[in-house]
Amino acid sequence: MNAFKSAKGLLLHCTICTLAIVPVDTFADGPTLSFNRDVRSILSDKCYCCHGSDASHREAERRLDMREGALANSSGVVAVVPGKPNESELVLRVFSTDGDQIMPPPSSNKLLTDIEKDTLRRWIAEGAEYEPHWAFVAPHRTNLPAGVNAVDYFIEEKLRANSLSFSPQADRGLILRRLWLGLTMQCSQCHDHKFDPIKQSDYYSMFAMFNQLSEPGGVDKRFGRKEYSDTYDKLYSVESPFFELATPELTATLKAVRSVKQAAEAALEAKRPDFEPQFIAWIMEMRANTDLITERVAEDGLRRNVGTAPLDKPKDGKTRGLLEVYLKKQPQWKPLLEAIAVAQDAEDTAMIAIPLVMVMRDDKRRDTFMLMRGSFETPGDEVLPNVPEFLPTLSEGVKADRLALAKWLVSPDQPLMSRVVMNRLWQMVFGLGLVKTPDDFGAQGALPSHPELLDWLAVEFRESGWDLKHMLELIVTSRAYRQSACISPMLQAKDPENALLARGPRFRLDSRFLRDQALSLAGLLVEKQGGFPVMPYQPPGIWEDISFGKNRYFQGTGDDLYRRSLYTFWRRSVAPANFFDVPSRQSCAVKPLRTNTPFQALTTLNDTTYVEAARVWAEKRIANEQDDVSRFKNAFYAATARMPEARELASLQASLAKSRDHFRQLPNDALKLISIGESPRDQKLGVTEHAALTTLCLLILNLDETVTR
Amino acid sequence: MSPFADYTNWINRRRFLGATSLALGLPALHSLRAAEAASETPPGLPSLPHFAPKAKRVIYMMHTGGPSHVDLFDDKPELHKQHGQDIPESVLAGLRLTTMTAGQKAKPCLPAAWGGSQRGECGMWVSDLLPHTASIADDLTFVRSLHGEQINHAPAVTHMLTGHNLPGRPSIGAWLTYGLGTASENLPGFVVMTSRDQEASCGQFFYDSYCGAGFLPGKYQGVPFRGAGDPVLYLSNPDGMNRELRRTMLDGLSEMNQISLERVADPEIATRIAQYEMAFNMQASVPELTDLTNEPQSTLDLYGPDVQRKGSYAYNCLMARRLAERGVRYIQLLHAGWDQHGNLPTQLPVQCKDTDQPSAGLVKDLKARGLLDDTLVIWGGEFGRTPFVQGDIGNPKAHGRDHHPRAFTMWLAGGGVKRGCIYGASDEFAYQAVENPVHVRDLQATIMHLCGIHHERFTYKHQGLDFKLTGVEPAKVIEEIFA
Repeated sequence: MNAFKSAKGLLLHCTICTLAIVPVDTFADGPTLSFNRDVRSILSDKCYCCHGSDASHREAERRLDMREGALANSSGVVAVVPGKPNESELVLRVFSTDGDQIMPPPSSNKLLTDIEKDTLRRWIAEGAEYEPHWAFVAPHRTNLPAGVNAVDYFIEEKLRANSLSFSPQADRGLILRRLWLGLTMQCSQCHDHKFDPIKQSDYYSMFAMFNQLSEPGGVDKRFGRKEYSDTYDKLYSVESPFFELATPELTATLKAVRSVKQAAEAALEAKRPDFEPQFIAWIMEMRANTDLITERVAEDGLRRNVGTAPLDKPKDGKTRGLLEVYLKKQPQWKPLLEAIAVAQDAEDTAMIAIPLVMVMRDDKRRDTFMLMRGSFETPGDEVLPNVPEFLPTLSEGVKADRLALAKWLVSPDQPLMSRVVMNRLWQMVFGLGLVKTPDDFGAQGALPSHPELLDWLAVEFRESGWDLKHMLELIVTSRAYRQSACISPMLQAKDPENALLARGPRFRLDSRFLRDQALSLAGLLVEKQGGFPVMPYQPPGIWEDISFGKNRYFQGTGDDLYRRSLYTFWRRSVAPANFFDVPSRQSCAVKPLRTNTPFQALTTLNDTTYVEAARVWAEKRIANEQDDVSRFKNAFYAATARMPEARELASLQASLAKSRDHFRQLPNDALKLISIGESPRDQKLGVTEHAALTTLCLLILNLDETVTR
Repeated sequence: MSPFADYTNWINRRRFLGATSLALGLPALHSLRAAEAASETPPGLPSLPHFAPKAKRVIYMMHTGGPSHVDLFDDKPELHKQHGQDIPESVLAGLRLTTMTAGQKAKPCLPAAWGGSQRGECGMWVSDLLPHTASIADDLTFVRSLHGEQINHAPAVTHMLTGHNLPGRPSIGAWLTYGLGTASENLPGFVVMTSRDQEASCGQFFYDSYCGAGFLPGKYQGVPFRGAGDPVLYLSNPDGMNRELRRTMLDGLSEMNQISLERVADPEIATRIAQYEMAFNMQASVPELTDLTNEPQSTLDLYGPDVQRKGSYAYNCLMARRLAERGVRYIQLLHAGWDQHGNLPTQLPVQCKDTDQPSAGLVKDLKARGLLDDTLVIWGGEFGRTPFVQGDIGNPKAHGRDHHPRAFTMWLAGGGVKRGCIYGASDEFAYQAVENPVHVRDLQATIMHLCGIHHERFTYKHQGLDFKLTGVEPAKVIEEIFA
C-alpha cells in the first residue's frame, strides 16, 4: 500500500515537473526571435565577460554587445554575418567540438545548452537584429480605454495569453490584511562593467558627486554606552555645524557654556607641569610590573594601552585616556577633571535644544581620481562629477552637483529611476517584483514579466508628481491584488512563483511587522511617532557576546517596550534578536529574506514580547467578552480578518479545555505564565482562566494565517 | 480523489520521499513529521558532491587576533642571530604595515622567547607553550606558508571565512550547507560558537558577517550556539509552560494550520507546520546536546580543566565533537585573544594555556572515536605576527608584535589530509612565504576539495555574476597535503 501510494505520488510529481519545465511563454508570440527576450541574456551571461563593454579585458578585439562590433571584419574573421549562420564565426565556434576552438572556452566554466546554441544560430539566420536594452530607454505608455485599471488590463492580457484567468475575489476582510538606479555598479570600481555599458570613469564621476570634505553630524559615540542612570536625551548631541539652526538665545547659551568648558580645560592644562611627571612615573611603574595594571586600571580597553601609549604625545588618545584614569585617582586633580565634566554636560544639554537636521555639504569638493583595479594605492586619471555616459546627460550648462543629480533622476527621459521605484513598490505589495531582480535592471538582470505594465506605472508615477500613495492605491484596488490567494494544483504546477498573478499574493509578514502586529492585537502598541531609538525586550548577553562586554544592552521600561519595531535600536554588528529575517546591514539588500525556519517558530512562541502580548490580549478578551466562543471569534477575527469556521472553533475550544485542565493541576505554573512581561496584570482575574486563555492567544498569534498576509 | 487531496498527498509524499535517511519503522505520524522537517534542510544540490569527499564535516577553530607564528611554529635562527638589530629593509620589501608600526622608527628582530623543539617523526618545530599540540604533531599537517593581504582583523577574518575582505559574501559554512545539505535531523547544519581569552585583552568584535549566508538563502547562515543563557535564542519555553503543555498547544496549532492548508493549499503552510515540529524537537535535542553528564571523566580530561565552564574555549571544543557526532556539517569556533601588541610576553603563555589542551584534546577525542578520518579539523588565525617588535625591545613586559599576513602557520587534521606533514616555508626572517606559498583562497579551494567540491564549478548567480568562495583570482588546491 505504501509503495503504491509512493509510486503514485512520484508519478504525479514527475507529471508536474514535466509541465513545469515547459517555458510558459518562450516563442509564444510567433517564430521571430527577439533580441531582448531571447538572445541578450545568452550573449550577456556567456560572452560579454570577454567580448563586452569592458575594453581592458576584451579578447581578440571582438565585441558582441553591439551590432557594429559583431559584424566587424577583424583580420578576415566576421563573428556574425546576418542571414548566414554558416559563414558566421560565432556559430562555428559555439558548435565546435575542438577544445581550442570552442566558445565559450572550457576554462571559463560556462556552457551553452543546445537550445541556446540553436537560438543564436536562428537569430543570425533571421538577420541578427539588435535592440536597445529595454531598461535604458525611457518608458512610454500605451493609452488605455477610460475607466480601465491599468494593472488589471496588462495582467489579464498576459493571463489570457497563457490560458489562465483571475481567481475569484478574496473576502474583503482578507484584502484589508494584505534604490537607487537599480544597476550593479560595483564592478565598475575596478574596471569597465562586463555586461552593461558602465565605464569605470562613470563610476568615479558619480562618486565625485559625493566626494566632499568631512561631513559633519551624527550621533555622539557615547550614545551606545548608556548607563542605568542616564537618559538618552542627555547623551544625544550633534556637532557644531548645526549650530546655525539655533535661535539667538540658544546660541548665546551655547557660547557661554563653551567658554566655561574652555576655561575648565585651560585650568587643568595650566597644571600639566605639576602632574605630568608623576603620571609618567605611574605608567612606567606599570610597565615594569604588569601586575599593577590590573590593580590600577579598571577598564579592559585602557589596560592594553599601558604598554603602547606614546607618553611624549599628550594629545594621543591612548595617553589621554590613561591620564584621565590617573587624575581621577588624585585628590588634588580630581576637582579640575570634574569641572570639565560638568561643563561638558552643560554643553551637551544646550546642544540638545538645537533641532537635529540632516544636511549634506556640497561646497568643498575634493579631487576625484579613478582607482586602478579599485585600489586607492593606484590612482589614475582625474574625473569630474557627472552621470554615466550611456544614460541621458545632465541639462546643458548646469553645474554637476547633487541638486543636478536629483533633477536628472526625476527627468522624463531618465529610463531607470521611476521603473526601479515602481518595481520595488510592486515587490512590497505582491512579494515578487515585475522584474525579479530588483537590484539589477542591466543585461544580466531578469526581463520584466509585464513590460508594458511596468512602463505604464513608471510614467503614471512620474506624471502624478511622484505620488507614492496614489500608486499604492491604484495597485491595491486592482482586481489582481484583490483576488483570492487559494492555490489549485494546476496553478501551482503552471506558475509556482505566481509571476502571472492568476491568484492573490500570499507571504509571511516581515519579522518587524509580526512584532508590531502582536503588540497591536494586545493593545500594547505605543503609536507615538518619532523620537529616540528604544531598547525593548532582548535575551541577555547578545551585545555583550559579540563585543566582549564593551557594548552593553540596557533594556528600556514602560512605553519603550512597546514602540513600533521601527524605533528599536539596531547595532550594525548585530540585529535585534527577534528580527529574525533582516539583512545583515553590511551590504545593500533590496530583496526580502523570506525564510521559514524553526528559529522563527521559537521566537514567536517564546520571546517575552509575544508571550506578554498573548497574556495582555487574553486579559482584554476576558474583560470584554462573556464566553469562550465570543472570545475566540473576536481574537481570531482580529488576527486573521475572517470568522473562524465551526471546526476551527471546535479545535480552539478543545485546546482551551486541555489548557484549563493543565493549569488547574499546576496553579503555580499558571501564575508564572501570566507574570511574564513588565505591563501590570489585572489581579482580579482568575489565574487558571487567564493562563489558559493566554496559551490560546499565543496559539492564535502563531497561526499561519496570522503570520501571513 | 479530489484535486485538493491529490495535491496535499503530493506535497506530503514529496516531502516524505525527500528524506531518504529516515528509518521507516517509526510510528507513521512521527516519521512524517521528521521527514517534513528534514525536507526544509535539504540534502544539498543534486550536482554535489562533484567527487567522493574525504571529509564529511568540518570543524574550523578560528583563533582571531593573530596567533604569533614566530613564537609558536616558525622559529628562525636568523632572528636569534639578529636579535635586537633592525630587520633589513630588503626583507620588509616595502609591504604595507599597519599604522601601529608603519611609523615606528626601529624594527628590531624579536626571536621566539619560549623555546621549543622538533617534535614527532615529522620533526615539526613546536613551541614549548603548546605541549599538547606538540604531542600530536604526527597527526597534523602544518602549513607554514599561509599568506594573505589583509592587515587588520575584521577584513582578514572576513577574507579567511568568506573569501572576500568586504562583508556580504557567504561564509564557508554557508557554502557547504547550501551545497551539501546537512546530515543532522534536529540540529542546524552550520553552528557557530564563540569564546574569548580570560584576561579580556582582545579588542575585536565577532561580526555576524563572519558566519553569514551573504546572498545565499538566509537559512544557510551560521546558527550561534551561545555559552550563556539559552544555547539557541528563544529555545526555552516561557516560565509556566512546560513541555507537556507546549505539546498540547502545538497539536492545537498544527490542527488549525492543517485546516488553513486545506483552505488555501499554499505549500508554505505545510513547511510551517513542519518547522514548528522541528522547533519542538530542537527543544529536546539541544539540551541533550549540551548535557555532559554521560561524558566519561577520561574524555573530559582530554579537554583540560576549563571544559565544564560554559562558553569557554574548552567547552566549545567538546561541543564541537558532540555536534560532529550528530551530523552537523560545519562547526565554526571563534576564539579571540591573540592580539598581543603590547603584552606578548605576559599574554601569549596565558592564551596558549587556555587553548592548547582543548585544541589537541578535540583531535585526540575524534581520533579515539574514529571520527577523525572523515572530519576535517582546521586550526589557525586570520594572520600571524611581525618578526620584529612593536614597542620597546628593551621592555619585554610591555612590548609585542604587530599584525602580519605575509607568512603564517596553520594546521589541519583528519578529513583526508596527511598525518605528520610539514608543508611550505617562510623566508629566514619568517616574513614572507617563499616555499610552496598557500594563499588564503588556496586553503579555501583545498577545504572545498576535501569536501568533494570543485571550487570553480560551485558557483551562485548574484547580481549577474557567478560568485564562488575563492573569488576571481585563480586558486589552487594543495594536493600535496592529501593523505
